[in-house]
Amino acid sequence: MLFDYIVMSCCSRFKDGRSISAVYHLLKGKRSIQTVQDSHLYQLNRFYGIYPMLQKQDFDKHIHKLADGNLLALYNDNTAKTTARGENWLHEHQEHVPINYFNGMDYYQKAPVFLERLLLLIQTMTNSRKNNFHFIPVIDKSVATNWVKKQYQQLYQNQAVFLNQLHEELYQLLKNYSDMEANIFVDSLTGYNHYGMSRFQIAELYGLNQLDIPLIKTAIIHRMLTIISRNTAVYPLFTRFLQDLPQEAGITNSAGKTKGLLNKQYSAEEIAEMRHLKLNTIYDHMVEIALYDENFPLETYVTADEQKEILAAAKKISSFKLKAIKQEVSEAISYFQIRLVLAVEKIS
Amino acid sequence: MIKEKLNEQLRNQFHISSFRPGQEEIINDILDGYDVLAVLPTGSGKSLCYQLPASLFKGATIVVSPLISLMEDQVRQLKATGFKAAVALNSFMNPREKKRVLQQLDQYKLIYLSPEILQHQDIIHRLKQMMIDLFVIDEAHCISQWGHEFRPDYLRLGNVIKQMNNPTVMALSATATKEVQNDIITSLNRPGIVSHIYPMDRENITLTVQKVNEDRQKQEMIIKLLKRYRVPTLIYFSSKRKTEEIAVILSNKLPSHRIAYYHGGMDQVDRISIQQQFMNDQIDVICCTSAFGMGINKQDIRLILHYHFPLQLESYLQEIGRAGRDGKSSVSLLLYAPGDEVLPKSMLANELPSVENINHLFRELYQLYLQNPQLPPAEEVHEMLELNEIQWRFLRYQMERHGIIKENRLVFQQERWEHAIRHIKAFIAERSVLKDRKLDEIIGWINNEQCLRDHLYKGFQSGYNTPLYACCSNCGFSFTSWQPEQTQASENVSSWEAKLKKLFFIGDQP
Repeated sequence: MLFDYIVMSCCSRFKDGRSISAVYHLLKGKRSIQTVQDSHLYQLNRFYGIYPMLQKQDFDKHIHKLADGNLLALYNDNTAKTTARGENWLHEHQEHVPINYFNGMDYYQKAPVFLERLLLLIQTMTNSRKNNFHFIPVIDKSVATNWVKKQYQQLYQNQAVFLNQLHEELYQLLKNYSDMEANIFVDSLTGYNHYGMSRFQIAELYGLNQLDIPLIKTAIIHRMLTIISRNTAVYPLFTRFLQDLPQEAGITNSAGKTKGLLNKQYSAEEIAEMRHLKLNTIYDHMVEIALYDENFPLETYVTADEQKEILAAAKKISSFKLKAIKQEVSEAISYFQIRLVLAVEKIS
Repeated sequence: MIKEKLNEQLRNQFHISSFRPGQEEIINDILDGYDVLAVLPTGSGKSLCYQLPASLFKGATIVVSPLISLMEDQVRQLKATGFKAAVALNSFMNPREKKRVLQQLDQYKLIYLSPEILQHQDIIHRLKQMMIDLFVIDEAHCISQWGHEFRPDYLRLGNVIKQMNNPTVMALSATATKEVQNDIITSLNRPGIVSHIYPMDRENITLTVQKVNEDRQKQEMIIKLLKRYRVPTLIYFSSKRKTEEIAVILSNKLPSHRIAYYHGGMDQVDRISIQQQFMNDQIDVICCTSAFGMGINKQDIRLILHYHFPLQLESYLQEIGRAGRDGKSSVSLLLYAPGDEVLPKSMLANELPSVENINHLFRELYQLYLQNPQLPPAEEVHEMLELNEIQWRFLRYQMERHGIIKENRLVFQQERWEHAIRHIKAFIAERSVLKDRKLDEIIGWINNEQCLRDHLYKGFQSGYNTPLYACCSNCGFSFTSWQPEQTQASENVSSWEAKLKKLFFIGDQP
């Protein structure tokens, strides 16, 4: 249900502008310029990267199910459009899904690390409290392990106090959720002589679709991160969990190199030559830079009039489809210029 | 003297009170510097045979293991017992992590490695700087089973051992026929190796086969059986999808049982959780693929069901060997319906490229060569040639052997290609015959009307122990007389608030 709702929302926003796999890439958080730009342009940032474990097979299956249910219309060019019935369905269900919890673009990398830290620290502290040092950790990634070790060294002398306070903060946090959400979260925690439930077990217990479980957990975590960062005084322990989480977004290495050369006033053509890359690749880098860099010198590449013309065209046809915009504007304006303008204008 | 410390070390480091049959003899030979080939039944504590010496040796012990998940399980378990100086190195580690581990490698006593990573020059170089006391090949039957086809690096272990300055060698397996044992000895070039071969029959496991007419009847049988018995149970399947499908059906039909599935496609937290819940008696039944079980050591698994039968008797033996490690009466039930051969046959057919396809593949490869002799990344080759990962790995290895791929480049020479094509076709045909034979063996066993025990162990050893409980379904076993101890239902905590309190010991007596 949640998964279907999110897919439908994306299709609804995309209109007929994007192929169905654009939705897939968006949910997986693909680090491609196209996907990131889609996310900004169509205001789908909250869904960016919220389902890294999604399998193409499951995705396709649900797309076809939605099409069979006449909620989604599929076209030969691989695009999908929500039907009138689909739009109604979205409207009817909007009350029942925790869409507002998601904040993908800000948390898609932070959330998994936060959860790993929390799971492993609870397991470690509860076992240590019972003097059991022979347990199999649920997380064995060294980043999480090293962090927990560091915390443990600081906390182990006050284990009882720590556990009480962590319980209290977690309890306060979970009160912000529905009963089912809080239950799902608590059921997936591991403690002393007790291991958390898998996604199948949770799905069975609460009569949910398996595909929704990772999404529900991600939604809960995103909201937790939002609440904690707004109320650090109320959640002193959890605030520690937020320290040195991985930085989100940022441009790719290769685009970074291109940026360095642009700053030295080399032209795109010269950079392509120097780096033995295609000119179009350099253009891709520049669009990527434009997306993240608020001081991107757009005027250098697109005059003010051209910018106006492009935006007016997009508005007129109410689409961000490059080809459609290209047909509306004067011939001298290139695809590259259109992409740059759309990249810079994303935050409207 | 090191040996006097054996029992003390056993208690202190491994928390075990006494040796199981075979362990002490093998460990003594290793400590005396003899190379050892050990064939011990599953569940007899094979790993201890090298873990204990490793904890006593001054230098490091290398363990070659076929699966990353297996290595990681072993390391996790060692660390849980307090043996922290263990590490697993594999080709999927990110470069930073690998560098960190390599730098500190001499601090580890036990180093688990894949055969592939032992071909990396930086690893070999690092290991040569260290003192290696023992070189272990775990699951050594892989040398014979996979080495020839797509894990050629298994066949290169002999050479690696030489480069390590010939440390003591230990080859371990739970299922190695005489033929496979000889293969191992030849490949490692250790004619003087001391063999410790222990019978693999399990006297407390009753073997049963039940023939049904169709899939649905299998499900009905399982439901009926599980209604009677709430005992730790594994149900083996050949497909991941089927584990999920049947787990859903069983959960609906058996609301009082705690049922889950397990396969290699799940994320890591879920895999560890399911394994450990089963260990902890939080789960009664697991629907799984063969990926489950290798790393776990639960004593009281009572029932092993096969929804699909495995590709060979060796795998069957390993899988049922997980039952009844505590010695109590346990049962294996294999369900068979007409047409069940189709799935394993197509699995076998997909393991290697087909003979008919070879000419076509080489034409494509020739086109590729004309464009650019440099091979593109594996995923692109898979797509271009329409081969799966295993098929391409096989073909690539064969082409390397025939000198028509060198350093990731295609090398064209007409005669050599023709020669290679002929040989590869013949080799595929030969391997297919061998695998079909293995499959026929297990199908023959299923359909055999005499004693199942007698027939099962015939190919592996001479004779077997008298079974402690009922022998097999052909010798007159009926579930009506089987009464194992049942798992008690645990109390259910209802609200999330209460569950959270319990987790954090809130309200417990201090």
